[in-house]
Amino acid sequence: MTGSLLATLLAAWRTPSGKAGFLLLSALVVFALLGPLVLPDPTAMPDLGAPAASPSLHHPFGTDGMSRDVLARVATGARISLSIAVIAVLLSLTIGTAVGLAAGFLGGVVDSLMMRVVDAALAVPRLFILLLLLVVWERMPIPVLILVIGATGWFGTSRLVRGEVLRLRSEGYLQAAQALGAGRLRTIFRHLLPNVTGVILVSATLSIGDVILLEAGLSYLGVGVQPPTPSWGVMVFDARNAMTTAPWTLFFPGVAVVVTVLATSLVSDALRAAFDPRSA
Amino acid sequence: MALVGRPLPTDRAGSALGGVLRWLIRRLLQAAATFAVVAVLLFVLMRLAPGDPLARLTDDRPVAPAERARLEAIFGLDQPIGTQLTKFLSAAARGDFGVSIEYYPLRVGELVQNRLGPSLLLGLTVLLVNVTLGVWLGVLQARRRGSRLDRWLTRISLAGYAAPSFWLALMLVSLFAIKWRILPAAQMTDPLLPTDAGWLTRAGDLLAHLVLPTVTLSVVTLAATMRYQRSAMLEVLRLDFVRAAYARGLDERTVIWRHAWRNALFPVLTLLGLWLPVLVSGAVFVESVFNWPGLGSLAAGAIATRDYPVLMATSLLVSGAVLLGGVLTDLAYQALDPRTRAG
Repeated sequence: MTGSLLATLLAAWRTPSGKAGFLLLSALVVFALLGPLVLPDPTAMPDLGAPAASPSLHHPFGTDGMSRDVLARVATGARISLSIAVIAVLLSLTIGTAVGLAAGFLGGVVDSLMMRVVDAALAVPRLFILLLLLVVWERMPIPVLILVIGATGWFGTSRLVRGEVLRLRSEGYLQAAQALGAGRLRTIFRHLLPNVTGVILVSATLSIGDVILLEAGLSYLGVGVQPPTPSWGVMVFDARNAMTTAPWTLFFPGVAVVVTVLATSLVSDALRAAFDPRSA
Repeated sequence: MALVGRPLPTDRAGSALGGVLRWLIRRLLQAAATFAVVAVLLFVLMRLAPGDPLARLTDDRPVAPAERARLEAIFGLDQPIGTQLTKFLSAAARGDFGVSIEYYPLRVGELVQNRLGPSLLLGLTVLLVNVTLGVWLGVLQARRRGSRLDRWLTRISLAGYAAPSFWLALMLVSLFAIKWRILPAAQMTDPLLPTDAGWLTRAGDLLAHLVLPTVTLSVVTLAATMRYQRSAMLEVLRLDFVRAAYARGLDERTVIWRHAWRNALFPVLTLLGLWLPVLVSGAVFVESVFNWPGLGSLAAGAIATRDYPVLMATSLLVSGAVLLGGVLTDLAYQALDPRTRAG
């Protein structure tokens, strides 16, 4: 199974969009890892002589009203936004896969109960669920924020996985495995799970982009990452009144979001095409 | 509900219509049941969240116990959680969502009512732009599958999807309203418009105010429509009857729009149901940037002021709309595709 997964990844890499997406994502990860090490710490070392300076050789993205280097803040923001997205998505994938496998495999009352709740949860846009949770909880620490975002993102995944399981259950090889005496756990982990990885992987890459947008939005509304921690959403919020005086402080964090989400969409597209060539 | 009266094209009179009615009633009941679960879920969610719901009113200051008790009584927080839930549900069923914290003593229902019109206006305008443009571009992409045009349209639309709506809105404001001064930056009407202005002036003013919010929301939602339409069209273009139509010597325009597209419309209908949550979430940001007097900016304001009754009401309303959108989508399927018609 791992062999075919590798082959799929390679196939995805070979498409032009896939290559662009993978390269962009790798560049972003390197930027997030190395940027804050190389660039001056924007909060501790503001360039006091240059408040709201336009982009120059010294400050490629300019500085903001508090003399902080925008490039350094975007790099720190990359760390924060990317790690929030990756951890939250891992969390929601785990919950969603578990629920989907359980519902699809167990069927009956468990399945219909779980799916009724999922139906209801899917009817409320995720943003509103999060806002309701965050509105009375002031200054939520980042780990809790990750937990909350992860815990509200699994409904769609569980639906997807459940559907795949129902489809696979009627396949001959699964019935053969069970006829040969494979237990429940063996059936799930050995036969079902490897066959739903494709669906999960495609939805995971797409979710990372969604969560980055979501986190930026929550931070923009003041209920996500709290200033002075520079998430991209926080930076856009800070810059909204500097549109005329220092437009670069607004421009660059937004571009960072666009590039990241675009890269995840491209990768997800390429993966989908590699798993299911007909859909391209 | 007015929908029930909508005439459904049927080839078998009477019984078929009865079947559809029965189906519709069942479907509506199902949606209502889901909505009830939504209401309970949201209530539990609110109460699970740690934090003081009255923080805004007391401003986190120590309040005399008597005063606090009075406030709790006003908002019903002094009762056991079970009673609160049943009270909330029965009041919500009557359309009563209690008192707003920020606009005290205004009732939430009144606030929401005043905001509904502008939100619908914006939402429907975006829908119109999105569907027209999305369908046209999606079909174009399918016809030129694999071409440079196809690839670039996908990339550009994905870049639009990748843009945070509030950022895009701010960028558009800074260019079109501040730098070039050709479009208004905020509100739905010009407050300096003379009171005796004719309807044409008023309509023009409203249109000018609609442009930037509509463009922002359309840009961030267009990719999905295009993608659905493209893949649906590709499925259909593979079929034999399309080849047959070409073989009969029909020109491309007729084959594409008259023959193929009619059959590639269904997936796009499904999308409209899925797409409503995206639109309302986007509206929270876009309406708040443009100060559009709709539900989205009401919700955004409720977050800033921690006005949870208002947020609760908007969330419920939005979920109701999403569920109703699902019913409408299914109904459209029923009306357009006899195969799915319940009998």
